[in-house]
Amino acid sequence: MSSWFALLVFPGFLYALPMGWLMLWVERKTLARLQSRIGPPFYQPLFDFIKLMTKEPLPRPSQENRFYLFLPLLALGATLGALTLLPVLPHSFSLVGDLALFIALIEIAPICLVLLGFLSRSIFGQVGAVREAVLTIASNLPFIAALIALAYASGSLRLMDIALHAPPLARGLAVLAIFACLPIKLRLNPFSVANAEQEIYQGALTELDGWRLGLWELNHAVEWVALSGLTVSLALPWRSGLAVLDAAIFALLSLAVVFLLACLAGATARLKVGQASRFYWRWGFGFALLALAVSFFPFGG
Amino acid sequence: MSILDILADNLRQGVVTLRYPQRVPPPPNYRGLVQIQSEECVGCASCAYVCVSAAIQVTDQPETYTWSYDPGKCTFCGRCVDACPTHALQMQEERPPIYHQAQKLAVTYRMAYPRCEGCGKPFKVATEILRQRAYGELSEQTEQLLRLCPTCRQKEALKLMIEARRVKEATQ
Repeated sequence: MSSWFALLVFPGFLYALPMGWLMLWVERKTLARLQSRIGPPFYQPLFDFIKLMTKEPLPRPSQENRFYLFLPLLALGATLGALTLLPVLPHSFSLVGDLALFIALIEIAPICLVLLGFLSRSIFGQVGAVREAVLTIASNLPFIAALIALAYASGSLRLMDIALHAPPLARGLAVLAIFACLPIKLRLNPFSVANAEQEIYQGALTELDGWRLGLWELNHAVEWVALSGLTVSLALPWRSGLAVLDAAIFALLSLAVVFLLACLAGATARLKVGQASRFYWRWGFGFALLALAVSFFPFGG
Repeated sequence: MSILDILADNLRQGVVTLRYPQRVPPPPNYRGLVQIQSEECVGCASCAYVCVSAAIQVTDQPETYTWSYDPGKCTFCGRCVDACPTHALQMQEERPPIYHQAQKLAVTYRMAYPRCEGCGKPFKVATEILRQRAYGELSEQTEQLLRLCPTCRQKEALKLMIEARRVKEATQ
């Protein structure tokens, strides 16, 4: 299948948009049910997006305006690009070394967020940007170590090879380490330190309004699809070969990951930035090291 | 109680929030819409003075005054009720109705100043509550004086004093 199909249809744009909104809804609905609330209807994230895009934003100096348009669009484009590389369909588009490209693309959105925070010249934005930077480094340590472990264990830098051929023990440990990184990458409790609403008014997003925030929220929805999709596609060694079936399994399991993350977010309270980063340096990295050790010295394999 | 117990309880209990327009009944001493008993009002405008959000406004005309209240601006702090010297203001203990139009619940009362029993000019009168607070029990004569405007009251009081002195001199 061509790269255009992957980018525009599945698992790219056409799939990611409704799926992203559905994931945002699943997260909000799950949280609501855990807190004995009704929660929003399923179309709420779409309506939120439409509302944000049609709102008249505050006038800003033209230079700032350019960045406020450019950074969310860059983040959205990069995340969509990363999504394109997910090894979902066995005969889909893939590149040699697409693992490295995936990591590079998925990291662009956090960098854009840090830049947006510093650009805002708001104290909350800057504090949020610093926290985002600290936590991005902390979470990337286990994230990248786990991906390296997978790549080494399967002897390839191609995501599809990793997904199909990684040995089970290394795969299990690495997928757990990657799953542990998701709350911080999606800015969920207990690691929602960088975008704490109550303490620093959404941190780096504090000055975003109207379509600027709408674009960012769209990027966030796509991030959900990309990161939960990565976990699912790497965790599942089996592909049926039937595109529709594979896509459906992928979508359902992605939603299950979202549900798990929402349950975790509902059951925990926000940590301090030091605690959160210590957790990733100690436990996340520990897990990833274990995965690395297992892949370098395969026990019984 | 661990968080897992709390979550399990929440799931068992089900949804407790109500779907719009159903509403939870208000708690006791709920501060709802401000209501005025116009017969008790003396038009002192203390309520408008203490109102932080300018929801209450009192405007003065020569013979009348208007008291207007816009719940859309009201923060339901209750300071107007505390400040009212005649207890003419109260807050409803039920929730305000749901409304879709700005100013829908706004009310305006136009009240006439009572007229002086002597000259017929409108003037600001002290109500029963205020009179009692200031003077305690009053004689019929003082009550009568208080129904006059300040000018007539001065004249009448002077007349009474002269009359009293004359009576005193005649008896000596």
